[in-house]
Amino acid sequence: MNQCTQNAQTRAAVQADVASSAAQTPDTLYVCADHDGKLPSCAPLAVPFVPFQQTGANKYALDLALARGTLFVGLDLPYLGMQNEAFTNLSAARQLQALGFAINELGLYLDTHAGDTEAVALYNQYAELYEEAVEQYQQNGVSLTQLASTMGGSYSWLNDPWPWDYREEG
Amino acid sequence: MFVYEKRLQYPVRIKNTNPRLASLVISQYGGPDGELGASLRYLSQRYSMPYPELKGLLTDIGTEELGHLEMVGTVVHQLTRTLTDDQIRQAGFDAYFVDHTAGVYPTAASGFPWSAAGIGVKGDPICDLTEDLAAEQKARVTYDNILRLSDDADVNDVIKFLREREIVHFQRFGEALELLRQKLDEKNVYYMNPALTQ
Repeated sequence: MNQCTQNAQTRAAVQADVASSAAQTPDTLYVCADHDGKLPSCAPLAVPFVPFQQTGANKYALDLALARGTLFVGLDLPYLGMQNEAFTNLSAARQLQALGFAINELGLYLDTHAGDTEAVALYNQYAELYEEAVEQYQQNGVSLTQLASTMGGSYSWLNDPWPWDYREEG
Repeated sequence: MFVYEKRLQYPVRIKNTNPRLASLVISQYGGPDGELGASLRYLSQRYSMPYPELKGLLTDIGTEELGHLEMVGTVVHQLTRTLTDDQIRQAGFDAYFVDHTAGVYPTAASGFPWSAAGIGVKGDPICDLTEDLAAEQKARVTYDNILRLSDDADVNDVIKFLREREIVHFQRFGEALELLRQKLDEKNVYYMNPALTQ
């Protein structure tokens, strides 16, 4: 057994001891705060390392996640304390954006945490709500896709506004 | 393939026009660390990536960056949507105006048109993912700098969102690098280029 393996095992034993006193998920060998991640106990030289985000990380509510630009509290690291406040008026468009954003964010998370079944369940939950939000959004003659734009029997794809148009409301 | 969704990822609503600010923000449209370069970097690096996690992440972040390109283009468009003669003559925008009027052209704030020289596709997974970590940091700093230069609350609202995305993407690329490392020779991660052995 080399020194590094030995150290890691000692450390793991200490941490498992600490972990047993708190409610920990089985894969949480290391006891890290929400804004901390996991590193390998031994690591090859000469490659960059970024701590791995833990499973079960704290998450913002949907509207705040959109405003902050991340679903994850621990990854919200603003410049000079400049932070957006949550949206107060969740229009159909804003709900669509908030749900679409949460799905997008969880999708990236799952790309590197494919085994996190809780995150898959949350993804499914948001995906279902997203489908509902799309229907809601498209009720007023607005189409999200060209495919959906002919469903009312006319071609509504060209209807204003386009995403880059300036609007005071909506 | 790609299918267009007729919406922005995040709302953009700029009340006041400000062509001078537009000529700075446009750097994230077509500048060296902008969203066009980001999307092309990741979407181009995908082809030589040997593992599904890496193919998936580059596809998904590259696609999100196209949405960010659209958001930055929207900021520039709304900042220049109605202009007075005085605004057109403002230092910082007059040179842009003579070439592109109020069109949105992929250029750096310094005037250099978008160039593939600002992105890297090396065909080696460790090298490309390390480039991506650096790219996210450079974009993050550009957004920091825009926040320092701009006092327009509507613009800053959008910039804060885009800046935070760079931090999340940095995290994911770092995790991807770790997933890659776990598949390589543990005694020598540089033993070979896994892109060439698949």
